[in-house]
Amino acid sequence: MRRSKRKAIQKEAVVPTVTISDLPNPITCDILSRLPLNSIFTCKRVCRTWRDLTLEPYFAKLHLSRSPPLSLISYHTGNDNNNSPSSHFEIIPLPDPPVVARPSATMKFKTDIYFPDIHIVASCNGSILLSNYSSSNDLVIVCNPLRDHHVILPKPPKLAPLQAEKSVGFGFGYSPATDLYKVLRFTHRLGFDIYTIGIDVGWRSIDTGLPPILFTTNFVFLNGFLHWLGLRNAWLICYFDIEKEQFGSFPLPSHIGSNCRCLEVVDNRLYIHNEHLGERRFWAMKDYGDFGSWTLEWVIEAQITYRFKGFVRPLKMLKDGTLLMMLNNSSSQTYAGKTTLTSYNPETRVLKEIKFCGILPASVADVPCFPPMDALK
Amino acid sequence: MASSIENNNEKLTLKSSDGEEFLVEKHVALQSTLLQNMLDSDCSSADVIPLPKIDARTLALVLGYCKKHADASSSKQGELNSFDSEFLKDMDMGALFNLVLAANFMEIKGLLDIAAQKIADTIKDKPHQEVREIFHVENDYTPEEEAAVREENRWAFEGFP
Repeated sequence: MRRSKRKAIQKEAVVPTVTISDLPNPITCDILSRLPLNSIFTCKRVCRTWRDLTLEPYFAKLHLSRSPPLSLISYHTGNDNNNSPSSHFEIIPLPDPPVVARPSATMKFKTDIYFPDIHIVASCNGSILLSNYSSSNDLVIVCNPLRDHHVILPKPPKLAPLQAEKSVGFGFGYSPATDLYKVLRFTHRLGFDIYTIGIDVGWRSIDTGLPPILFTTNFVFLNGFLHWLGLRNAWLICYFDIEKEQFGSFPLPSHIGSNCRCLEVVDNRLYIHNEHLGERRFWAMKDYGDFGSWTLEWVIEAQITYRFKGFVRPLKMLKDGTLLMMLNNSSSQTYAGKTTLTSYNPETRVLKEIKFCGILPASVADVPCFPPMDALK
Repeated sequence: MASSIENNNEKLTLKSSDGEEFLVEKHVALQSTLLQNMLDSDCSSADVIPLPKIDARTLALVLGYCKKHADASSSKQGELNSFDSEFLKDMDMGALFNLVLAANFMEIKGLLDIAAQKIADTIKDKPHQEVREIFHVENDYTPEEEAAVREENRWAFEGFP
C-alpha cells in the first residue's frame, strides 16, 4: 500500500490503487460475514486467505451477530450417481418476507455421516443432533452442516428391546456460562442420561428429584434450559438447567385448558398449543419465567385445521402478522404424509403452502452458523 | 454525541497524507471516535492533527459524511439513509477501499458499516472467478487444493446459478 501511495503522490490526483487484499483481516472478515450463506461458500473458493478467515472464531461471531435467517434444516439419505449410499443436509432459509418459493433457495450440504435409520432429534445453535432412536438406538451424533464436521458420542445405556421410538426423547442444550454443550436422553424405563460434549467419557445417569410425573418426549431449548410437557393431575412444564443440571417444574395456568399438544420455541418465546373443539390454539409465555404471562396468540379455526392431521409446528411470526409453520397431513403415527412449509394469516384466514420439497417430519428450525472448530470436540 | 459539546463553533485542522489541510468544526470531527479520544485526552485543538494514512480525496469524502451526520443528528433517519446510499453510489472500488480504511482508522462506525455492506453487496451472488476479477484477488490455491475446495463445496452450490 505504501508503495502505491507514493506513486499517487507523484502523479498527483490519482487514487492510490488499494485493493481488497490491502484491507486488514478484521475488515475482510466483517465484509464476508455480511454475505448470505451461498456467497460465503463461494468466497471460500476465491483464495486461501478468505477460506482461512471463514474458519476464525471471530468470523463465526460476526456472522451470527448479523442475524442470519432462521432456516429449516433436514437430513437426507439416498444414493449418489454411482449408486453408493450418500447423505446430505438441506437448508431452506426462511427470510421475512418469505421468498422461499424459489426452488434455488434450498442449499445442500454434503456430509460423510451415513448410517441406516438416523434422523434429526434436536438442534442447538445451528448444530444438529442425530440418532437412530427408532431402531437399535445406539448412535448419537452431533454435527454442524456448515462445517461438515461431526462427532459420534459414546453409546448411551442400552434400552430393553421392545422400547418403541415413542418412548425416547433427546434434548440438546448449551450453557453460555461454561461454554459447554450437553445432550439429555430420556426413556420411560431408564429415566434421564446426560452427556457433556468434550468432557464426559460416558453417559451419566441423572435423577430428576421430582415427584412422579408423566413426561412427554419433546424437549425444547431456550435461555440455558430444556423444557418439556409433563402431566401430573394437570399439565405442567418441566425444565432442566443445562449448567447446574437441576430439574424443576411449574404449572400451566388453568385457563390454557387441557389437551396440550406440543411445546415449541418461536422467536425466543415458549409456545404451547392445544386443541379445543377442533380449533388449534397457540399460547405464548410473553415474559420468560412469568407464569402469569401466558397469552393466547393465534387461533386456527376448525374449518381449516381439518387439513392437517399429523402435526402443526409453528416456526416464525413474520412482520406482516403471518405465521410460518410446518404441517403434516398424515393421520398415521408414522408421519407418512406430506410435510409442508405453510403460512397462515390469522386476519384473512388464508392457509398457503409455500414449499414441501425437502421438508421431512424431523426437520428442525434453527439458525445455521459457523461454530468455532473446537466447540464440538 | 454532538449535543454534549459546549462550544460548537470550535474548529480543528486535519492534515491528509498528501499535505492538504482541512478546517473542521469540532462537532463534525466528533463523529470519529479516534478524534473524540484525542480531544478528550486534551490534545490541543489549536494543533494540526496529521492523518498520515488518509489522502486528501478520501478525507474530503469522510468529512462530507461526518458533516451530514453531525448536522442531521438523530432527527431525520430516513433522510440520512438516502444520503448514505447516494453517497456510495457510483463510487469506484479503489475509492471505496480507501474509505473503508479511513473509516476503520478514524473509527467512524456508521461509515465503516455502510462501506463494508456496499462491498459485500458487490460480492453477493457472483461466482468466485468473477469475484477474483472484480477485486483483483490473486488465486493462491494450488490446482490440487482448488480441486479439493471445489469438491468440499460441491453440495453447497447445488441449486445456485
